Amino acid sequence: MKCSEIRAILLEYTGSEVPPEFGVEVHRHLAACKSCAALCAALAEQSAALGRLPKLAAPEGLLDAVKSRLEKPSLLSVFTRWLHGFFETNRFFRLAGAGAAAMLVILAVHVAFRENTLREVSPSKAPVATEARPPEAEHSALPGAPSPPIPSPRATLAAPRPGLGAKKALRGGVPQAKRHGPVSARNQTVMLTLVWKAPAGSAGEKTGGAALRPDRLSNQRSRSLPASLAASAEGNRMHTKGLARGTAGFAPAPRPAPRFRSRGVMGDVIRLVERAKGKVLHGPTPRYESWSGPILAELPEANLHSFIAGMRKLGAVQWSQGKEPAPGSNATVRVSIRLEKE
Amino acid sequence: MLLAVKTLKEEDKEDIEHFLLGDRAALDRVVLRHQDRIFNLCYRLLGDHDDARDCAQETFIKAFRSLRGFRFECGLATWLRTIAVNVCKNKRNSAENRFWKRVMRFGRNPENDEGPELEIEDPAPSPLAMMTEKEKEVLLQAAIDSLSHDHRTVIILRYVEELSYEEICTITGYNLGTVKSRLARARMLLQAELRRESGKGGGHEML
Repeated sequence: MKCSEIRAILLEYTGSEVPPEFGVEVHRHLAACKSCAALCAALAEQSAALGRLPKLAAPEGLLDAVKSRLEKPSLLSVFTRWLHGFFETNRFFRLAGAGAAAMLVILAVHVAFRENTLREVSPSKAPVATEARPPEAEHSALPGAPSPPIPSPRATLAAPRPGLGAKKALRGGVPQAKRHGPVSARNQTVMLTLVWKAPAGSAGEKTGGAALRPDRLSNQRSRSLPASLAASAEGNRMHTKGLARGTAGFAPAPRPAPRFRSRGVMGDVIRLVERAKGKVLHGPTPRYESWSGPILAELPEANLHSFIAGMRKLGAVQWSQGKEPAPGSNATVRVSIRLEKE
Repeated sequence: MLLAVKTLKEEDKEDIEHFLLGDRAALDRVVLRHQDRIFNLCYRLLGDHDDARDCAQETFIKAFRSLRGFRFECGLATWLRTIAVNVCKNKRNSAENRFWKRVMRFGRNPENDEGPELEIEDPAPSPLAMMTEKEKEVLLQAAIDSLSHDHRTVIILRYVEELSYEEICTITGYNLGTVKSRLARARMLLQAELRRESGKGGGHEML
C-alpha cells in the first residue's frame, strides 16, 4: 500500500481501531516507513490528548438562570395578554375596537374598488377603441343604420390598442372596412379603407410623386411636414429632369427588376393628411426607403371631403365598399390608404 | 426481586412528560442531568467560559420552549447537543464575535499567521508527547479554536464527547462519508496547527 492509503486509514481510525483486514498491511508499512510511523504516533497522541481533555462542570447558577428565563414570559405573549384583558374588561373599548375594525374593512374595500375603477378608466383615454369586426358590419356604421351596442368598459379594456388593431386589420392585404364601436360621442370613429390606384408612369414608378407637387395642392406647405419629405419631393422633381436629360442624350440604362417604390406618393398622401388636420398613425418614416404597406391615418370627419378631393387629384380613388359613406356625426375618421399600381 | 434500572433515555422521556404536565421539578432534573455535558461541549466549541455559559443557557431555553415538538426520534442528549452546536455556530458567526475577533487579530504579525501545512513530513516526535497535561490542554484548545466550525464540531464530538459516527451524523446533519472526510481533514489540520504552535515555541511558553 502507498503512504497516502495508509494515511487515509490512520486518519479514519485511531491506532487501536484499525480494522483487521488492514492491520497487517498497516503494520508492515509502518515498520518500513519512518514518516508514516511518526504520523501514526502523532495522531494517536492527538486522539489520546483530546480524550483526556478535562470535563468541565457547568457554572453555578445555570439552572436558576434557565428557570428564571423560562418563567419570564416573552414580550409578544405579554402584549397579547394585555390586549386581551383590555378588551375583555372594558365594554366601551370592545365596542370601539369592533367599530374601528369595521371602519378599516370598509376603507380597505373602498380603496380596492377605487383602484380597480382607475385601472379601468385610464386605458379609455385613448380616443379610439379598436375592435375588429367583419366587413358586413360596415353598413351598420352608416347613418340610418341601427347604432351598435355600446361596449362595456371591460370589453373596451379587452380590446387591442389602436395601432395594433389597425396593423392586424391591414396585414391581410385586402382592404376591408373596419368600424370601431363608439366609446363616447366625442371620439366615435369609423374606419374605412380606400384603394388608391396610381396612374401608370407617375406614382407607380420609381419617380413616383412627380405627378403631384406640393405647390399644386397648396401654396402654403404644412409646418409639420418633415424636411426630408419636402426634400424628397424636390429630389423627385430633379430626378425626373435628370431622366429627361438622360433620354435625350444617352440610351437608358437597363433597370433592375421593377419594384414598387412609392415614397413620393406616400409623401403626398401624408401631406394631405396633415393639411386635413389629421395625423398619421401608421406610415412611412422620413428615412424609409420603400414603403409597400398601407398608411393608416386619423382625421376629423369635417375635413374628410377635402382630403378625398385631394386624393382624387393624385389618382383614382376606390372605396372598399364600392360607395362613399354618407357623412355621420363622428368626430374623427380613420382612413387606411393602400396603393395599387394601375 | 427485580431491580429496575432506568436508562438515561427513559429518565429523560419520563421527565419530559412530567414537565409537559406541569411538573416544574422535572425541569430541574433534566437541566442538572445534562448541564455539564452541554456546557463542556459549548466550551470546547467556543473556547470561552462566558460564551459557553450563555450558549448553554440558550440551549436549554430553546429546548424547553420547543419541547412539545420533540418526537423522541433521538435521545434528549443528542437533541440538546444539536441545539448547542447550532447555538454555538450562531454565536461565533454573530457580528459581535466577529468584531472582537478582528480586534484581537489586529496587530499580529501576518508572517506567523500563515495557514497550516497539510503535508507532515517531519519525523520528529509529536509536540504533545513532550508537554505536561496542562500545556497540552491549552495548546489543544488553541489549536481547536483555529479550526473552522465544521471541523471543530466533528473532532470534538468524536474525540472529546466520544460519540459514534451515527450520533455525529444526527447532530450535524451530514452523511457518514462527509463526517469521515471532515474528521480526517480536521485531524490533519489540528496536527499541523499543533506542530506550528510548537514550532513557534509557544508550547512551553504559553503557561
